[in-house]
Amino acid sequence: MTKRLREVEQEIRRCSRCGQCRSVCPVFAESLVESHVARGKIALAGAALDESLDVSRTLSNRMSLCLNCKTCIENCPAEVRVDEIVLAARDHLHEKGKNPFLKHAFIDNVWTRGRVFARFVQTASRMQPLLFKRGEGGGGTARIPLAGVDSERRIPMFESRSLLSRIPEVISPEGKPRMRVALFVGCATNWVYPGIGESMIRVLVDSGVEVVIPRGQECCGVPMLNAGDFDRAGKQMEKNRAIFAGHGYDAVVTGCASCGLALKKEMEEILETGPYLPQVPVYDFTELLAREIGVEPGALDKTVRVTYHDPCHLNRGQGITAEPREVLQSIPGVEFAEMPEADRCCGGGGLFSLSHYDVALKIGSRKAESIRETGAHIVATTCPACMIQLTDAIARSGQDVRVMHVAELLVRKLTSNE
Amino acid sequence: MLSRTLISRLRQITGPEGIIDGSEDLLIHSGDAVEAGAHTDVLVSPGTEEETAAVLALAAGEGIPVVPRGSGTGPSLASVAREGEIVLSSARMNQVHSVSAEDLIAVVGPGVKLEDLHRHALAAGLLYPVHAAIDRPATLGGTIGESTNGLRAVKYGGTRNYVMGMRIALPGGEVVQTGARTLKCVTGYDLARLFTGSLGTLGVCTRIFLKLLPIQETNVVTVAIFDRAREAAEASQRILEDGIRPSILELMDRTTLCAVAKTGNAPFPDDAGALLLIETDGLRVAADGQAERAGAICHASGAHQVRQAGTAHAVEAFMNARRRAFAALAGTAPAIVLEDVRVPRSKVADLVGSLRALLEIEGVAMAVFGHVGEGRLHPAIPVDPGDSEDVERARRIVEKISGEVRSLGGQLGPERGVGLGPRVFLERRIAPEKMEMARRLKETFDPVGIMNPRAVL
Ligand SMILES: Cc1cc2nc3c(=O)[nH]c(=O)nc-3n(C[C@H](O)[C@H](O)[C@H](O)COP(=O)(O)OP(=O)(O)OC[C@H]3O[C@@H](n4cnc5c(N)ncnc54)[C@H](O)[C@@H]3O)c2cc1C
Ligand code: SF4
Ligand code: SF4
Repeated sequence: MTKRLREVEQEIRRCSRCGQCRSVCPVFAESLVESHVARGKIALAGAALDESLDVSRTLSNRMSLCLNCKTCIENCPAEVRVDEIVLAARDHLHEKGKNPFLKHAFIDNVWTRGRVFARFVQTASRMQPLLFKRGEGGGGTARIPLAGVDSERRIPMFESRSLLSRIPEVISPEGKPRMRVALFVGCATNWVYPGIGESMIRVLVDSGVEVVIPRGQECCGVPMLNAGDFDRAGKQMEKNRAIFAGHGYDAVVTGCASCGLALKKEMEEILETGPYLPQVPVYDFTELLAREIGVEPGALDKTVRVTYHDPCHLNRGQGITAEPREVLQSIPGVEFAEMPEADRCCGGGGLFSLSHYDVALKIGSRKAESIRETGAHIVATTCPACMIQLTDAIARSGQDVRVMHVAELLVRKLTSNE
Repeated sequence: MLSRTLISRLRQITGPEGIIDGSEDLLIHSGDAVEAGAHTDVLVSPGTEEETAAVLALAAGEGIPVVPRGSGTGPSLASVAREGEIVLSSARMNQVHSVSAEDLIAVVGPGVKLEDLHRHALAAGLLYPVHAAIDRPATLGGTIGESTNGLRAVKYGGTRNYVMGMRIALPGGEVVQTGARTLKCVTGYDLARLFTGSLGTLGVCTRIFLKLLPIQETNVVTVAIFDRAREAAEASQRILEDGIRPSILELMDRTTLCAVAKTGNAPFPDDAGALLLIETDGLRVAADGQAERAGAICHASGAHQVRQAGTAHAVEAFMNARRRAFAALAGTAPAIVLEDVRVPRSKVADLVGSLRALLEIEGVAMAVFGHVGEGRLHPAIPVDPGDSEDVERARRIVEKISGEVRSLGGQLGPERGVGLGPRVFLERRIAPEKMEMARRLKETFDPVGIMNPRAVL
């Protein structure tokens, strides 16, 4: 029996089987199969623990059918830590060799090796235009039928030059800086949306903040954690710790909800290895702006209706809902419209949409319909991983809506056709 | 074990989307809120009434037991299935067919969740007043099976008072409609009500006709904090004696409050000894006036804090605390024996008093909470099933409770527990002659005896 699974035994027993999670789990809402909901996964983890069920690929599949959106935890009367249980079960399955081979091979051989990963993405960015054509509103669709890729799917397009290779390590404002912050970039910002990073840096520097972007920083480790590979996740944390330790700064900021959650508490809680980045506070970009810095953004060229999607890892993960809205509403020209169920998961779930695209698609289409109800032209959010999913969901729903990070909207001069 | 041939015949009836037969998926579908259940062989989820009837006809023909299932949140071990049985789920019959503001009637499929019916009714300006503490996932079919009363029964009554009719697939495959879509239906036996509370032992309801009420103008939630549970229970008696008709009158004692506080935001002070949750509804003046009088009675009965929840957020915080009670307690011990005790309303303070006394004698952290306005409480006894002395002590406490309850002219409902596996304290709590009548009745509907054979009424 794997140690981590045994460690969550008490948590497994705390589930009273009341079934409240059934009414909130986005995955269950699509399938109505109860092994896809928290209560079911907990029962499966319990069965794996007392060895009354074989460790099978089906078990691994059921455990993988979780977005780690934490909606069940928020609604559970006993606040059972479903995330810890599911991750411990994935760790157990990983040790037993039952997790998807390809995903782990990629994690082991590419993702956790900084230079190899960089080369992989550079090659991919050169190949992608041959295979995918860029779509209106972001991402690309396959030019030719590709095995395993839905022809309508918007795939994130890698940039040929990552954010980290484009910018200097320290960017200073004019005059004496009021504060020095370190930027934790994250994979999606680095490779898919470097514009988010550039926008954050611009807003911060314009507000008199000196920004350090420590070179050599890597993936935060969340994808490894979610894949049940706790060792690799821990190693990512150690690498980043060492890189960040070489710099002095007052705070760390990130524009990725999942990286933020990992840095603030998730890794620490699950790996029990002490704080990710000791000593300084970690902020989400919008949190830093709203709480510490305060900005007076320039006006947009014209009024535009904007709605906001709450990333699970910012809202339920970090309890941040007001700050991004506050920042958005402070932009002259933004006509803010709240969407129904703004805090409902978009269905992206990191690598979830790679292995369960059909489910992700259904969850995403509900989000697209919520967005449609607002009549907004822009959906803003604070997580690049959500942006990948939203771009696909919106394109599929046939809407002409831009997906943007709050930071991008802050520096944006709207073009006349928006 | 069911044969592959049988499973493929079931698949022919419902199509592949209506069948679950993998052991991983069956694990959770075999249990309810109390017991994990042993692995069944198949779960069938028909999409229509015809499919439901066809499944029952097949099962009756083969003499295979059928366990109807809603969301599996019932605490009565009545949707728990074993090997060789078919679990029949209402999950795919989840359509709200109509909600009529003119006729004050909703027609729903059995798999519709209470929360969805509440939402649909509200959108039409109507109220379905059954609000179980578990009102989100429970299905209408399940609330009929369990005859759910819920938090507002003190004023509105329970499921029984709202079921006007239903369509039922009988074990032989026949479909009957009982009751009607009219408010009064006076011909013949009231079969719809007979089905209510039958725990899926007579047939499977496939469509339900429910009475709705016009929505109330307002609800006012008042919370009173006491040092002692007995004072709170006395206050609840006085509130009712005073002619006030609260729509919710619920008690939580100190142990319950502590457990709730451990699971998140607690909207009450740390040192609260007991909490009375009171809701009054109706026209604004009436609801406010009654709330004020109820508050004054609480003060006079020893409450040291009485306040109204002023915002929707505050109301939700208190309702949520009450809804969390059971699950929060379940999280405090390896297992919980949850009793369902009913006494005449006028005896509820005496009951609370004797339960507290028992608790002191036995030195166990028993909690007491529940529908004090209805004279119905849930003592919850923590046990460690691995410790035989502990189990013995719990058994002793249950016996004593049973004695007290009888001496107060009350009765014990079916016991519920969490984490205990098979029920340790199971005893038939219905008189033998009544059991015999029930048996004969069941035979009329279900001659082969396939419907939920292990459910204990
Ligand atoms: C935390 C918690 C709090 C609760 N609070 C209350 C409360 O305050 N008041 C109260 O009265 N109850 C309460 N209950 C019990 C509640 O009534 C049941 O949980 C609920 O009604 C069951 O609904 P379900 O859909 O989960 O049904 P299930 O548990 O799946 O089934 C319940 C019974 O109905 C039968 N059944 C299901 N569908 C059908 C059908 N279509 N045809 C025929 N039979 C069917 C099943 O065979 C079973 O016997 C509570 C339960 C929990 C877990
Ligand atoms: S809501 Fe919580 S306690 Fe209830 S079944 Fe789900 S995980 Fe278990
Ligand atoms: S974390 Fe989200 S997807 Fe996973 S079980 Fe909970 S509600 Fe479902």
